[in-house]
Amino acid sequence: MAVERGYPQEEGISKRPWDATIRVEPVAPETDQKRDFSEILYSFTQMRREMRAMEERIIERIDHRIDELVERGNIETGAGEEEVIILRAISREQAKREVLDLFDEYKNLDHGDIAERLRLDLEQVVEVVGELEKEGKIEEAE
Amino acid sequence: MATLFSKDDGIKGERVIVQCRAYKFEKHPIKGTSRHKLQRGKLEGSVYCVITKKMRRKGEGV
Repeated sequence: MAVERGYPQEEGISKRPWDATIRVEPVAPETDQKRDFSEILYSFTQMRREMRAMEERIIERIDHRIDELVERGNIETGAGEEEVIILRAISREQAKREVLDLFDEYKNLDHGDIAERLRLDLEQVVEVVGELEKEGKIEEAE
Repeated sequence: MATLFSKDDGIKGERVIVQCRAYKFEKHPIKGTSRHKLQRGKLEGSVYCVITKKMRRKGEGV
């Protein structure tokens, strides 16, 4: 059934060309073609979901297998040679001086930064920093 | 400043510095621990941990 649509005619206004009545053919709620397309789209989405799940399972199995081979020593991780830090043995007073000098150079530091930069034992750094805090020479920055 | 030695002793902090002979972290982050997921690992051999914060020379920030 054809539906007629048009602009309402007002009295005294002549009909303009663009006021022409538009005839619109009704569209079926869902054609067979549309139904086919939505079915295809649905199966495609399902397939993609299954493929993604399968991919995750494969990656997981590969990771697991690599871990097994690394543990057995069949393969190496390729991390390369480790750099060994040789710690310095210095007196507590010297350590204090060096820590204060480091704070002059780098404004904010934590225990790890100090131990790494001065190549000192972490426990010694903790002791020295604690003493400097008690002496009122350093404070928390955050 | 206390050092804990016993089983079940725990430490909590936003930043902890760690020193140990060996460590292993699980490859996958832990689900259900927010967007910035937690990670879990194991430290072994002469483990020493200390809670730390950034510090500065006194009077620098004023």
